[in-house]
Formats: sequence, C-alpha cells, structure tokens
Amino acid sequence: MSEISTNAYVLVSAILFTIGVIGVMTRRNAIIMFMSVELMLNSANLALIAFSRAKASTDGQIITFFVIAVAAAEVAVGLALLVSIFRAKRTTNVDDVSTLKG
Amino acid sequence: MLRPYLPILIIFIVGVIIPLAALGLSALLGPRKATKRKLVPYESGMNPIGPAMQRTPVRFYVVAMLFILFDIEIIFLTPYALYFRQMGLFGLGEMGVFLAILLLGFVYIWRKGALRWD
Amino acid sequence: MPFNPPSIDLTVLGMPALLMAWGMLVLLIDLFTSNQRVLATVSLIGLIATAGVGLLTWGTQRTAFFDMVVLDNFGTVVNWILLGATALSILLALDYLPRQNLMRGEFYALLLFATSGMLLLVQANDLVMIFIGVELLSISLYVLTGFAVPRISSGEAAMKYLLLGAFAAGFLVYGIALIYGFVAANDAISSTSLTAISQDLAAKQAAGIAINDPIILTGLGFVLIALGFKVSMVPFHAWTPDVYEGAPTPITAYMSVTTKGAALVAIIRLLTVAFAALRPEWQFIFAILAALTMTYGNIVAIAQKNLKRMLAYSSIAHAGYMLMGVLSASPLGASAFVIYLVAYALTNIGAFAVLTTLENRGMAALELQDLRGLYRRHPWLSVAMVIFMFSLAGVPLTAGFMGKFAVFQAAWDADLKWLVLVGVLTSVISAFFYLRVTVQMFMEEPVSAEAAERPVFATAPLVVGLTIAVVGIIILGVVPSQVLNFVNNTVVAAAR
Repeated sequence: MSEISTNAYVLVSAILFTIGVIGVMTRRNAIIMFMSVELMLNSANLALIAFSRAKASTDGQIITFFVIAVAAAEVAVGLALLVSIFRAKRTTNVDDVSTLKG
Repeated sequence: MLRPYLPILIIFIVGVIIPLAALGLSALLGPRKATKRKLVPYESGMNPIGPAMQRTPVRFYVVAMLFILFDIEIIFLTPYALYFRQMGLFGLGEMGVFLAILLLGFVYIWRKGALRWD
Repeated sequence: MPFNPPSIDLTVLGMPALLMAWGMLVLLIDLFTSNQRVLATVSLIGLIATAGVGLLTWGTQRTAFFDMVVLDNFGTVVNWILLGATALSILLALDYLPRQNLMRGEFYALLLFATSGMLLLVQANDLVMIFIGVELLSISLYVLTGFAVPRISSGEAAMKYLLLGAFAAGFLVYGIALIYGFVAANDAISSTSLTAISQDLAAKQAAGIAINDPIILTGLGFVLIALGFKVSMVPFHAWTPDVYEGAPTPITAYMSVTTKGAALVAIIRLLTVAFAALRPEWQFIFAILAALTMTYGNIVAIAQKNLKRMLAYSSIAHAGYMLMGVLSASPLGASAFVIYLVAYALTNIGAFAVLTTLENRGMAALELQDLRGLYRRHPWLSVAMVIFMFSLAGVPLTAGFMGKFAVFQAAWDADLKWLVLVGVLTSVISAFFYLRVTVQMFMEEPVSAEAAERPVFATAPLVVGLTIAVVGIIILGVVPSQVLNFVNNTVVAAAR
C-alpha cells in the first residue's frame, strides 16, 4: 500500500476550505452558512492533522482538539440564536432579517 | 501487514450477507397482498396521525444544543484516556479541574431549568 | 513516548485565570440570588482583584506553558485598561438593564468571561492561545449582543456578528494550519508559539531558504484577516455598524473599546515577535489598510443620522489611528497605541454612557435630532458630551489629542510620513460630525414639545462612570506627562 503524500491531504483541505468560503458567501440560509463554516474549520483540521503526521509532532493534533471544541460551542450559540430569531420572525433566511440599515 | 484486519473484513462480509439474505428470502418466500393500509407511505400499516412534516418543538433544540456541548467537550478526555498511566497524579488533577468546570456548567443549566421537559 | 508535565506557572496566567474563575463564581451566585446589584458588585470586586494580581506580578517578565503565554509589563498595562473599561461598562449597565427589562444574571458572568478571553489574548504568545482568546471573547460577545433578544434588531445583530465571526474564525484556524505546516516542529516549546516561529524563520534565513514563501504569507494573511475583523479594520469592517447598533448600548460601549485593544495587542505581538523578519512584506499593506480605515470610517460617519451608527463608524476610524501605532512596529509605536487606547476607552465609553441616559424602555430615541436642546434638559450631561466629542475629534487639551499626537509621532518616526498626513486630514474631516453633535445639543430647538420633556436617566452609577471618564480625559489632556512617562517607560522597557 503506497503512502498518500502530505501534499495530497493539504490539497484536499484547500479545496474543502474554498468550498466553505464560497458557501458562506453565496448561500443565504443561516443554517447552510453554518455548515459551510464547519467545512472551513474541518478543512483546517485536516491540514493540521496531515502536517502533524508529516512532522511527527503532536502539536497539530492538540490544536485540532481545541478547534473541534470551540466549533461546537460556536454552533450551539448560533443555533440558540436562530431558534430565538425564528420564534420572532419565522424565518432562517438572513435576507429576511434586515431591520438594520443605514 | 493487513492480517490483523482480517476479522474486521469477515465481520463486514457477514454484515452485508445477513441483511441481504433476510431481504432476499422475504421477497422470495413471502406472499404479496397490497391492501390500502399497506400502501400508506408511513407508520407501518397503522392509520396515519397528522402530516409527516411536523414542526419539532423548540425544547428538542435546547436538548440537542446541550448535548452537542457536553458531547464534544468529552473530546478532551481522549488524550487522557490514552496516556493516563504516564500522566499519573498530574493528569488526574488536570482532569479533575476540567470535569469540575464542566460539572459547574451542568449544575447551572440544571438549576436554570433548561433540562425541564414541560 | 515519555511524558513531561508542564510546570503550572500560575503567576504568568494569573490575571486571565483569576477572572475566569471569578466569572464562574458569578455564575454560581446567580443561581441563588436574582439581585442584580449583588452580581454587579461581585463582578466589580473581581475586576479589582484581577487588577491587583497585575500589581503583584508587576515587573515579572517570563513565558510559561511551553512558551504559549507571556507575562510582561506591556501586557499588564493593557490588561488594566481592559479591566477598567469593563468596570465602566458595568456601571453603564447597572441601571440600563432593569430599565430595558433585561435582568438576567448571565450578563455579568458573560462580561467577565469575555474580558478574561481578552486578557488571555493580550498575554498570548502562541497562535493557539490567540485562537482561544479570540473565541472566548467572541462567543461571549455574540450572546451579549443578542441579550436584548425579544427586540429583533438585537437578535439580528447577534446573528450577523456570529456568522461573520465564525467565518473569520475559519480563516484564523486555516492560517494557523498553514503557518504550522511551514515552520519546523519544535520539541522544547510549542511549535506554534511566536518564539518558535521567529526562531524557525531566523534559522531558515540563516540557511538561505526564502522565508517569503507563499504558504507562510497566506497563513499570516489569514490570521491577520481574522484579527483585523475583530479590530473592524477596512475591508473587514462590514459587520461593525449593524452589530453596534443592535447590541445593548453598554455592550456596544464595552466591545467597541476592549475587542479592538486586545486584538491589536495580539497583532503587535504577532508582527513584532514572530514575523519581524517579514516586515517588508506586511508593513506597507498595513499602512494602506490603516489609511483606508481612517478615511472610510470618518467619511461615512458624516452621513449617519443615528448616533449609535455614527459612533460605530467613528470607532472604525479610531481603529485606523490605533493601527498606525501598531504598524510602526517600534516600542514608541506600542506605547503610542497604549496611550491611544486609554484615551479612546475613557472617551468612547463616556459617549456611550450619555447615549444610555437617553434610552427609555421600548424607545431608543438615538437619532441625531433627539439631542436637540439637551442642554436645557440636562446641562451637565451635555457638557460631558461636549468633552467626549472634543476628545474623539482630537481637540487639544483632551485625552484624544494626546493619543493622536502619540500615534502620529510614532508613524512619523517609522518613516510613514504620508500616513501621518492622511491621519491629520481625516481628523479634520471627523471634527465636522463630532462638532455637529455639539451644535445640536446647544443651539437647536427640540423637535417637539414631547421631545423636550423626555426623561434623562442619569442615575448614580452612571454619574460615577461619567465623572471618571471626564476627569480621566482632562487629566490625560492637560497634565499628561506623568501618564506618558509611565507608559513610555514600561512599554519601552518591556520591548528590551
């Protein structure tokens, strides 16, 4: 079985990251935007793990733990906000929630 | 090199065969009678109660969010679980502090009534 | 693999750790009492105790936890400013919350958690610590922004802040991954610590390897995008006006000052400790962004009718002035940044304090014309507002002038003379809309008889906060030498 090179992992992670960025910028549903952000964070995790293996250092894996935990906290807060907005406005589309302009 | 993985392969194959066999045999041997109730798309032959696309009550979201948080925080136990012998008393102390903080959060949501169902 | 436990050096981590523990204490107390005064008092005591820890560890300069956290006098001074700003914000919130029917105990705990994240960010010496500090302060602030959530604008502001903040966090993490991929693994200290990065870059330079590699430049760029987002640097400022308008006013006051301060310290450490070798790559780009930030903030602020939005755009502009001190990348620049931060904290929180007095339940009344005739409704309040506006504009004999003078001097010394010119010109532009506020208060008639009768909620804690702000501004503006010498000595000494 041949080794998959670090470059391949990083390339995949870069593609995933780009998909995530495009997702956040083009989609207007808050939940899908969250999913895209998750994609960005997890692509970074993939890159970290790949680098960590290539260097035989555990630092990258440790960073990944923190990223996963923080991402969960962020999503929980985001969903809580969404629920409270949905109660008031009955929509998760960010374009429908735009009272602030100037 | 792949030898230790042989049992997993066997389990995998067995896992595919058994459900396929069950489905195939019931398709071959079972009688087929289409009644009105059976053609109803869900609720396995019972009379459907209400539409399929129901709104989920908000309290499910609250429980789901709390679950995500406590579920993911457990990730920090993984390194300790792998190295707890080498880490000794130091690791025990660290994990004690970590779990105490987590417990504080649990006590907080409990007392605030986030876990109350009705 | 052998395991060597890190030395638990609580001296270095003292300030953030104590404040974090205190936040948990406030959370616990909240379970047993619903008295807001008790919670606020306990929080204020916690802030003072944390500042006291800074006094005890004063003069210590060392890193700990595999070089991930650093303690030095520069960081301690900034921490004190952040703690002071938090205390002032609590004074603002004390009567505002009951008036707006927002009495929930998490408020003070979240405020302390956010502040402890900022202290961690100030003392961070590692990319991971920067990430954790940024997220701790951001997640707390998302919730605080949405604290007035039955009001739809508050929820909307929180949602926008969270979506864009999470987007920025994605960039931060990917940037960290790229930098981690570029630098060599370090066995003694954390590979992503700023010290390790600078050592690795120096080693690569000595070995003749090009260090302006696309990978590390992209990584640095991504990290700076995320931090620039927190500072609301143009072009990453888009969230600022909406979030500042929608958030409860004490929170707007709080985050407009503290987030910028903490994130800018992280940028200073990142650029001068880790990436000093890449200075030709980042300094010019940063100078252009600072110029854009100042110009954009001040010009768009002219068109604003809502006071909160006006102050939001003005805060973008002030971020630009602070960036001037940061990108000078010298001890002089760092001390100029600290002076500017003190002045801005006193002034901006003071200005927002005046706005909170005008806010009644269910009625914002924060349009520019609502200020008309404020002089007759509450003379002292309008005099205080004039002082704040003068200080924001940078009129001599106020703290704002000293701050601007210091950053201009630092940029001049760093040979960025064109940037100083932009700074002076945009300051002149800004004077227009700051002075317009003054004109409205003193020279215009109220829009209606009802507006002339509106109550002004200048309650005791708020008056204390306002007095502190005004006295601070005047001291810093009229007799600044003590403060200037103190800051210069500590920051320059810390840089050695």
